[in-house]
Parts: sequence; C-alpha cells; structure tokens
Amino acid sequence: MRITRRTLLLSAAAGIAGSAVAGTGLALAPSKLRTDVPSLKILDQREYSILSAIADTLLPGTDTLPTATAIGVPEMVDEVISLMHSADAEELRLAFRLIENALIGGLLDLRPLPFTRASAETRRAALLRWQTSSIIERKKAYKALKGLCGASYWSHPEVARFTGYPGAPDLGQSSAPKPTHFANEARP
Amino acid sequence: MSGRIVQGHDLDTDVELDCDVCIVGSGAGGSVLAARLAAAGKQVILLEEGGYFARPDFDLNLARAFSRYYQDGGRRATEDLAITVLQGRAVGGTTLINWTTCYRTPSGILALWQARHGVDTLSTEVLTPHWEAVEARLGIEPWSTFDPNPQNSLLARGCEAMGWDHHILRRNVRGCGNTGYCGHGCPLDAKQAMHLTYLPDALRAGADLYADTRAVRFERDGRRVTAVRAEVLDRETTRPTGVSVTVRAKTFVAAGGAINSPALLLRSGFTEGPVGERTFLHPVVAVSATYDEPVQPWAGAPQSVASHQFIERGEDMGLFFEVPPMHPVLASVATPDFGSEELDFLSQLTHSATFIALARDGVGSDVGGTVRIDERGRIRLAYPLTDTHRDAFRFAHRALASLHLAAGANTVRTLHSTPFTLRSQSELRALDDLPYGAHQHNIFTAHQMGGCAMGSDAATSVVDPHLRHHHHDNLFVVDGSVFPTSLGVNPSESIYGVAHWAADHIADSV
Repeated sequence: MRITRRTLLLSAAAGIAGSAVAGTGLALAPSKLRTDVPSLKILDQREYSILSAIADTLLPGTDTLPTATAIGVPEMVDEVISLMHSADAEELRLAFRLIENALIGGLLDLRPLPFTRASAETRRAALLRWQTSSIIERKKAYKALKGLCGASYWSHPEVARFTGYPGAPDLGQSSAPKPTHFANEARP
Repeated sequence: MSGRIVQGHDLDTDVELDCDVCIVGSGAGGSVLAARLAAAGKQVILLEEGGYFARPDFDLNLARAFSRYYQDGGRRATEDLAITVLQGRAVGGTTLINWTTCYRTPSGILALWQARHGVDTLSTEVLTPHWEAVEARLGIEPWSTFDPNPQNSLLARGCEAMGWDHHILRRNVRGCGNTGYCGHGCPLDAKQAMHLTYLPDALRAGADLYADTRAVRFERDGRRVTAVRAEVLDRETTRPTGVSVTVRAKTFVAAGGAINSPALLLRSGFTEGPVGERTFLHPVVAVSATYDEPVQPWAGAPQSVASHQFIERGEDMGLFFEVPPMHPVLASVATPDFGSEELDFLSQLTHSATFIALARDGVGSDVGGTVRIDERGRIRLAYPLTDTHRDAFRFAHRALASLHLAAGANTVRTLHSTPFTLRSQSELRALDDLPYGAHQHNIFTAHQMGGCAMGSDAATSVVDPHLRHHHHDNLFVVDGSVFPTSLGVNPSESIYGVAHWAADHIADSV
C-alpha cells in the first residue's frame, strides 16, 4: 500500500485557497491520546490512540460483544506492523496520521477535527469516505486497516462464538509426536 | 544416509555448501522434484524461506496461521490491494495450507500450450503416468469418505436445479476427519501435503533441507549459474539474522512458485525474456446467501463439489464454481463493510453459504499481471482488471446468485463495497447494473500461475519446453510459474505432475 502524501495534501490545498492560516491550525490540532497504552512493539502513544479509535469504529462491539480495543486488537495489530517490511510499516503509520489529520479530515471528510476527537458517528462517516474514496490510496488504506483489525478481532474465541462458530476442536495435535530428520534433535 | 532439516536457529555462522542440485522452494514442485532426484542418486539441497511446521504447531487459529504459514503474513495482495493473494510460505509451500482439491491438467489447456506457445513436450499421454504416480503417493481420489458438507451440498443442489454440471472433486487426503481446517494446517496429518510425503521421501534419500533460508539471488558466469546466495531468517520476526548460506551446485532449480520464482530471477538480474509477465491468478469473486437451514460453512471438508458449466464461454473468460471454508476470520476478510453491517453479516454465519467463481485468465487475449521488484526491494504484482474481467465478474455474480436462489436461499448478498441483496430470480437483472472491478467488491486468488512461462520462443517465454531457462544452461524452473496460461482447474496436481515429469531429464542433465 503506498500512500502519497503529496497527492492527498495537494487535493486538500486545491480546495482551500485563501484559508492557509485556518488550515495550518487544523493540521496541528492535537490528538486525543489514550492513557491506557500497553507495552508496544513499534507504534507510539499517538499512533496507538489513532489505531484504537479506528479499530473501535470498524468493530464497535455491541451489548454482548466487546469493542476491538477491549480485547487488545490495537496491540495485536501493533505486533503485526512490527513484523512488516519497513516500507509497508512506514506507509501504514503515515495512513494513521492522515486519517487523524483535521485539515484533511475537514476538506475531504467534512470533519474539521482530529479523528480521535470526533464522535462515533463522525468517525464512522469518515471511514466510509475512505472506503469509497475516489483516491485509490485512501481505499487501500481502508482495506489494509480493515483486514488487520478484522483478523485480530474475529480470531478471539469470545468474539468468534458470536457467529455460532464453536471454536477450534482439540484433535490431539498438540500432543502428536514431533517429526524426525532434524539436524539438531535437541531443538526440533 | 538420511538427510537433515536445518532450521534458522541451528545456524549462527555463514555456511557454504556444494551439491548436485540446489532447489529453491519446497512446495508442490520443489518437493516432488527433490524426492525424485534424490532417489536417482543426486545430492540435493532444498532452500525454503518459510519455517518448518508440523501437526503439533497447528493450533487452528486462522489469524495465527496467516501470520505463520502465508506469504506476507496473509497480507500478500496485488499492488493496488484490489486482489488478496493467499499463498503459502512454509516448508511444503502452499500445499501446507491449501484446500486439497486436485485435478489433472485439462487436455484442452495442454493442446493450447502446444499450439500457441510451442510446448511440444507435454500432453495427456506424456503426463498420465506421472499423474498416476503422484495420485498414488498423495492419495488423490474422489471425495467419498463423508458426504459433502452443507455448503458444498447447496452448490450441488443449486446446480441440479439449474441443470448445470456439477461433480465430486478429488482431494489429496488419507484418513481425513472432515474437520474443515485444511487452511490452518491439517491437525490430523490427513492432508497429504509435501511435508508429510515427498519431502520425507527426499530426506530419506539423502536430501538436505534448509528452512528459514531465503534465496536472495543466483550468481552466474556467462550461461552458467554458479551459486545461490541466501539469507537465514529469524522464524518469529522473518528478519535476516545476518547469517548467510551459499550453495554451489551443478544444477539449480527455481521452485518458489508463481510470484516468488520470477522475483528471484529479477533479483538475480536475469531479466532476459518476459520474466514476471503473464502472471495469472484465477481471480475469485464470491456471493453469499442465507438459508433457513444451518450451514455452518466452517465445518467439514472445505471443497468437495465443483461446477465447470461455464468453463468455456467462447471469446469470454471462462469460469468455474466452488465453495470456500468460511471461518469467522475469513468471513470478515471477505466482507468489505464494517461496524453494524459487518456484525450483521457475521451474526448470520451459521446460516450462510458462500459460493465462489474462479475466472480462467490467460486463455484468451488477456495478458495477466506483472511481477516486479520495487525500489525498496519489495515484490510487487500489478494485475490490471480489464473489461474482460469485469464482464466475467458480472456474469459470475448473476450465476452464483442464481445458484443460491435455486438452492433455496432466502437472501442473497454480494460482497460489494455497498452490498446488494436480492431475494428472487426477478431481481437478478439488477446485478448487471452494479459496478465490477478493482475495489468495487472483494476479489481473491488462491491459485498463482505464470511469470516464468514455458515456450519454444525465447522472446515470449522464460523457460523452454523442458523447463530449462532459455539463457542459462543449468537453471530450471519447476513450479506453477511455468504455466503459459491459467488452467481452469485447481493447479496443485498440474504442478506435482510437471515436477514428476521433469525429474527424469533434469537428473540426466546433472
């Protein structure tokens, strides 16, 4: 996934002739940071806060289902990002900042405030715009984030049961004999 | 003397090795070839970038399976992310996580390769004894141990009602418990994947396997490949450990599969010929539906019924129909929406069935995708979707929706960004007006072919009809990347068969 910052910011700039001062203020609007940040592999507090807001918008839970953050989806995604190719990780972290950015949000998503400060309804509308955007890089970012968050969320046993899926059976595989032929038999 | 499996954590200093044949990749092509060559007395070394996993490792968590056993942690996709690419990355390659469906290469495809691409070495007659051999070794038989699961039964029911072809397909299993976890790593060792069959055969005959060892590039001197340079990877992080493996051999084989084999050649600077071009994917579209009866689409042998009713559509792209195993994680990946809409879809999973249509690309005038290496060293696959694809997707949606309704579905749902639902045959026409193509609906591939096409003309192929690289005398490619077109059937047995066939003349060349 390759986000072109130039593409997005040029798109924004094309619509705000004469409002540079206001635009600067929006671009610098602070995020609402979470304070319950666990130990992370690669993301910082701000990125975690943005990801948490995105994940809880994608997967808001219900009366009986937990939110994505409640079951640790942002931490799981953080670990996945830490294992990505560095270029892919950079692009995804840039996507967080672009989704959060109030200037871009105001111009492209009718949301002139950071994503983390927006209401649930506003966040949902923003992600819908990313999902259906005519800017391919926004569509790609949405798809990447949805896939990462969804795989982590729906693999949780408590959540998977919501679908009627009973969970994976124990078919004796954990106690199956280990294969042979290893060069180092002490460390198969 | 038995060979050994050497894993990344066994190596803390650089290694230099010599052998008769070095095979890069331990999947459907590499393992079959390794076993045959080792049995013929050749000293064989296999290099595999993925890790060695076996039954004790399979905890049946699909998200973890994606991260451990699939390329790019399950996130491999075309460059525009329009098509999700499910491809294995482990000892055994994609055979570790595929859904076991086996077909011989259609005779029409072999005839097409001969007529259009000059592949005069392969025919049904030539390949039959090789297919028979791999079928015996891998237990490939029509599925009969259990009845088709509800999802497959619904496909059969719909085809029956429509008067369309449908048949029981063949699977490479022995002692299958009908659990439905083929894509997670078989928890019963029932799926006859390479790590249980041809790879142990190769090891018993003296071949060595270096797992967690990624081939970076070949080196050459004129028309001869002289060595392969590889880097050892940390199993958990997939990052290089700093330890290198260098293998010198009389003969080298690229068997990393479509996408990976072309990428290896490109990293090596072997850019002669259309390397990476004509990469085909059998692009998949899906339509779901809910039924009054429970379906439990995650349970039971994932694929046991298929329809080839529309494999021939004249000038248009042919299609074949199957079903996928729909565990919650895959269902989430399949549906493009989120929030309450996704919850609604997943809440009905027990009563949902999904049918898939696979498009037979490359047989017509479509040219498929192109693999390249980007400026950051990443493998990139560009696969433009054309009007031909969009027409096929439109046709597929109508056909799959028809099948669901004929099978008794109460609500049919597309996987468009804004899903479309219908409840009767009278609404089918509206499907024609929906948008089709990149990012309009989810598209997948579980079959990757081409990129190092075989052929008689070096200008339009990468390897000759004997799979020898046109420009390197001691380099062969033996995997699905050599197919000049897609197949219109699941490709695993075609790869097993071609590898089994190629072993004789590769052994003679060493």
